[in-house]
Amino acid sequence: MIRTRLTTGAVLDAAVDLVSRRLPGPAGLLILTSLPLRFLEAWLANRLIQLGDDASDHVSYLTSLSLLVSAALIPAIWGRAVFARSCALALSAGGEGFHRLPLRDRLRLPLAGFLSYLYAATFFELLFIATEWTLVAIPVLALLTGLAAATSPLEDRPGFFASLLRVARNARPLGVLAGLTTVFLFALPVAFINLSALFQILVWAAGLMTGATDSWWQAALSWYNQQFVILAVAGAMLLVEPFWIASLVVTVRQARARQSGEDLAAWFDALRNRGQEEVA
Amino acid sequence: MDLQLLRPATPTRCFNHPDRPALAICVDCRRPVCQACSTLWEGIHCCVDCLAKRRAAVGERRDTLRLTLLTLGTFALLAGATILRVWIGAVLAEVF
Repeated sequence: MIRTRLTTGAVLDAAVDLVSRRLPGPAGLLILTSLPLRFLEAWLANRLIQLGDDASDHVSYLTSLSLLVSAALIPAIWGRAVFARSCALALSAGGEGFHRLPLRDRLRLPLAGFLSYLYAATFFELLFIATEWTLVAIPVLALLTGLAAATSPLEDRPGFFASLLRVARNARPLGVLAGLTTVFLFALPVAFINLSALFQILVWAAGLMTGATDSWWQAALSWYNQQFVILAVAGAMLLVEPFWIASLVVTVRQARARQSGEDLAAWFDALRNRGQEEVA
Repeated sequence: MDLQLLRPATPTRCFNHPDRPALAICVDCRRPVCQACSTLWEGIHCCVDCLAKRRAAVGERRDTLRLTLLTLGTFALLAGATILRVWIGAVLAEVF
């Protein structure tokens, strides 16, 4: 009996199936809860770029913006935890089993698990802010933040180090994780280009229908407009995030199932059921 | 003196093991328990069920303390992130 290797392609297929076919609702909830965070981050980035050298003269204004970003982080983290739990439930119970759960049970998270994940997510957010200027740390910390979300359904005992160690223990297989990070590093600019092109097409179509040319909208929704570029980057991150978290949940579950032998037990059960059906 | 008062008391039997004599009485539920069923918890006798309840209560208090410290730690990290975001953002805006 040969066990098939866990590959980046197989993980991506499973993640796309989860997000687009089985869990569009929780994916939509994830995008909705992350919307305020992404737009506030875009607003803060835009203000910093506009202020430039004068940024240090507007510390109180920038601090109030940063406080709003930190406040928006909490519902975004809750949305990620609900989505990761939905992915885990759908993978273990099957899509139909998940959808039979009442809505309240699908949205409810165990308090200890959520607080542990909130702590880990905030820790990695702080590390990200401290090291983002190096550029090299961005994919590493994006991976750690995603793994913290993917392992949040596994949280059982709260602890300062337990949550962080759980992320480190589930960071395997490294090859698949590196492959996923590379794929999503390319996916972000592709999503950005598609999103900004979509807006351009909508403006062009509206111009065709109204007959107006060289409108204000064409200038506003072009790559020459810094605000539009920053918002399009935020929009691209929103679109890619559900697939990113779903891929990591699939990777963590499959790696754990292979280590515990759960995948072999499920395979034997499927074989036995198929055999019984054929006999019947 | 009434001689009946001097009569020795009937030996009490363990609540869980009727064939064994009771060593003590559980302080929480007042049930007689034998040596095997009794555990000393901070100097008082407890039966198996009440011991489990006391252990669960201690575990809950420890978890509540851990959760409270975690929440405080999270708010401290959020405050640090708020300040660091502005500081690094301002430095990067000035440099670039």
